[in-house]
Amino acid sequence: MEIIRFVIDFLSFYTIYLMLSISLNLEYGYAGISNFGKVLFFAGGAFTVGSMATRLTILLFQGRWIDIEEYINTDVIWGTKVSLFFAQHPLYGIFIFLFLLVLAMSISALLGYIASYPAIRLREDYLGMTLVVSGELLRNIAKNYQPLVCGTFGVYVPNPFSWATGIFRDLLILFILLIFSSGIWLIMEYLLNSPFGRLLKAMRDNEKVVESYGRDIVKLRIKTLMLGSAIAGLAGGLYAFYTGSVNPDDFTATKTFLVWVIVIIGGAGNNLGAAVGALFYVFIDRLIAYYKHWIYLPFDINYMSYIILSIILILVIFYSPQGLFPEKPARTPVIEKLRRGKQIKSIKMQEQE
Amino acid sequence: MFEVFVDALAYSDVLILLSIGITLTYMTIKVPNFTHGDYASLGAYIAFTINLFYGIHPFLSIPIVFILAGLLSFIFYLFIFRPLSERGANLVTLMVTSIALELILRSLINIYADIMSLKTKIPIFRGFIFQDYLINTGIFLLPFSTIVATVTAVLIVSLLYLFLNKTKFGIAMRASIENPDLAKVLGVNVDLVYSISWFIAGGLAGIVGVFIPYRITANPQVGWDLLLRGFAASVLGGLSSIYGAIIGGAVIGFAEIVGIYLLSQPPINLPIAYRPSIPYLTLIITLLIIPKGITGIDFSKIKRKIVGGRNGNN
Amino acid sequence: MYLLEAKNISAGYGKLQILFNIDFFVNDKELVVIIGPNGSGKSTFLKTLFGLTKIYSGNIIFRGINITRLKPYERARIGLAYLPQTNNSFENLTVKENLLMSMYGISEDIAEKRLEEILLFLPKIKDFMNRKVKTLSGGERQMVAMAMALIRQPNLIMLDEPTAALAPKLALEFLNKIVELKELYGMSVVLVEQNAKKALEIGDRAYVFVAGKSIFSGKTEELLRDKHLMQTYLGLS
Repeated sequence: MEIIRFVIDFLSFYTIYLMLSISLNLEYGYAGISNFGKVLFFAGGAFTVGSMATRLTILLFQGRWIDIEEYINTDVIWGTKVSLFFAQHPLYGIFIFLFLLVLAMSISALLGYIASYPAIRLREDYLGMTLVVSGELLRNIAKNYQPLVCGTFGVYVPNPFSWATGIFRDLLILFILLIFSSGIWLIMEYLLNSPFGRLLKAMRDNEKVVESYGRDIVKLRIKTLMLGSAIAGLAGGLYAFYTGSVNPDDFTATKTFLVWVIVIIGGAGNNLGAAVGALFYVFIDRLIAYYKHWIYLPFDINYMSYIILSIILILVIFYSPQGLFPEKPARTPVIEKLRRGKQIKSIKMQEQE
Repeated sequence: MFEVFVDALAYSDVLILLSIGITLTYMTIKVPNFTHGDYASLGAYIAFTINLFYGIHPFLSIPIVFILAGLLSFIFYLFIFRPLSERGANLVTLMVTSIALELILRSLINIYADIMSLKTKIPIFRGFIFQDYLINTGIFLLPFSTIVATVTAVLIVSLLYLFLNKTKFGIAMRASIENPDLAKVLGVNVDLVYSISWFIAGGLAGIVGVFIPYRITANPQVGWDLLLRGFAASVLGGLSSIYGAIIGGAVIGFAEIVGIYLLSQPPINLPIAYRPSIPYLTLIITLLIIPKGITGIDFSKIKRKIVGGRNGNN
Repeated sequence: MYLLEAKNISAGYGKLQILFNIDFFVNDKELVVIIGPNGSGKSTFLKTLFGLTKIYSGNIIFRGINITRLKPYERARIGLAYLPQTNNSFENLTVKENLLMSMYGISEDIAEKRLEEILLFLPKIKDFMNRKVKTLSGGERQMVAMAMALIRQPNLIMLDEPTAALAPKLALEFLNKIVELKELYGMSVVLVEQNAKKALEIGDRAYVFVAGKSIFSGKTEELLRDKHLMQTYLGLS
């Protein structure tokens, strides 16, 4: 039973980090935007769900909006009531779930739009500093502006699937997470191997050339960031629902860094790298979370995992800077043919075909 | 009001020392070093450990802290940043590497704090302060640590000025930072110069760590918290100038303390916990409006524009 | 024995090879000119002699010492000097500090002497000793750069298109000064020049570089007489 629980938990976390690393891969691996503020957009989605889930439901179905003074002390009480409500009315639960996810994605996309202003104007190191600091700024505000997620206390998130019970519920949630993450994966795979993906890589490698072909770099950057942020927001919303609570201190810059570690170790510029990197990280992380009471160490073992991951990252940067799965050329028809070992008679023939 | 000013002074001293180091290492590898703050955490813990086990007053351990933190910074440069830089690693790679090193260093300090907490059964390893001595000037209470910090800052800034302008090696350092290839060609061992810059930068950050526990409860996280302020200070001053770091440190230090004091008064009544937002917002706004910082502003150009406009030349 | 000899040099930047099997030598008190079309590797060759590029094969012997593995600053300290085409002075330092930098590693008293000597040779510099280089005009900067290269009185100085940014009159003055200096201090000079005609007039020997290879090596009179080479690669008749 333990094993099953571990696997479910592991896979659930995996889907979240998979989405995060796919989104960073889109922004950095393809478009060359160094988004060091990933947690900002992740939190955007999570905070949306956290602040809205209970209160919106109460507003819609009981007509009152609980103001913050009362809510701080009673969020768990109200939240549990809402969970019970969802147990009795599963369809409302699903509705709120989907609605809030869409809202989360929209708000994160909006944050992405705002962030694209500096992303266009600043060089990578300046952009990096700006985004890291923005993430911490959001966390500072969230910790102190209680109406958002009850400040340092954090907020309880009701469970929209409380009609299911026991292991079935966990499996159901896992199933839903898998659907979302697979969906994102498929969409991204298609998108990034399409002309859009090639355009992004071209922009990353040589802006001026792309501009001289009449492409609007600014619009491309904005689109990329909004898309990447929306995905991160989706991951954030799902994360909030999955863990059942939102606490600002869970969204530190360390999370951004971990996603970067994942993408670099796995290999930027392709989704496979993102997938494997995320697998790597989540596996180590969950293994430690589950079995830490088995190993006696005089310190919090999470630090060990950070150290191990960071060392691996540095080794990768030194000896295999492209990551475990280096970027491959885009899968155009010609490349496909070459790969399959067929002869290319001439480019003209291809055009005629 | 005096207390606020004195508070701001102590804070500025610390920020100035920290951002000098940030600007210094930035000038050598053109990348903001995220590890830099943790040298301060390291310094705090070294001073604390020495004080606990050998009874030496933290201020007296400043030389040791300087050397140890400087050494660590030098080692990181020698084995990580220099090789990567020589290979032509891009900005993002260097930044991610510095972040990885930061994670390692901070985690190690955390582990140290945990182990020592258990071993010595002194829980304050996870959060300690140094006992300060308050001098009653009659009008307000002046912490002794503020005097020491200010004297240290003034001393270091003066020494740095003399070093960079009056010694051959110092001039060589300015030259190497501006144009390393040319410096090499003229016979300067630029590697040595950079190594020493990193040593000094790390050492200064370590010293910062000795002063922190006099103002706030020190924990392994303090370095990181200060780092972002340090970035704000360096960027505001201008990442290509040490004087900029000094100006930036002073401005951010005063802006944060005096700023939050003023904002927390009526009518705004902003909670003090919003303090970090001041340097964070300053960093963001600076990068968007004057990315080269205060020292990067071309005052002669602006003067010409104004004067030229008046003469009807435009 | 040659003052400088480079044998079978192949070099480039990283994996990009620029120079292919170049043989090159300079005698004492000689002015050697390297000319050729843009991108032929002339600048890269000078940088290679100074250790600023990646050498794939070959050896460089200077004053009898094999300097192929020496670091640039070590080469500077044994009598080799180099004046790059651009970025050849420290903008944020004063002229005096720039000159001091150029004598890095030289003892105080000799440095004093050298400073006096260069001021005799280029007296105009005295006027802006304490100004930052970035406040000077192009011609003034180039003068400072030249002073920086010459102040050590090196055995061999390599100049990379020193007249490129100068007005024709100044360019002529500059080249004449170089010859003066060669005679005065017995220096050898390697001169990479776009202004091929004038350079060939003052040079003793010449090399023609094309696409990273040396296609001519010999006395300048020989080159001036070779109409084919002059026209094809130098656009001169």
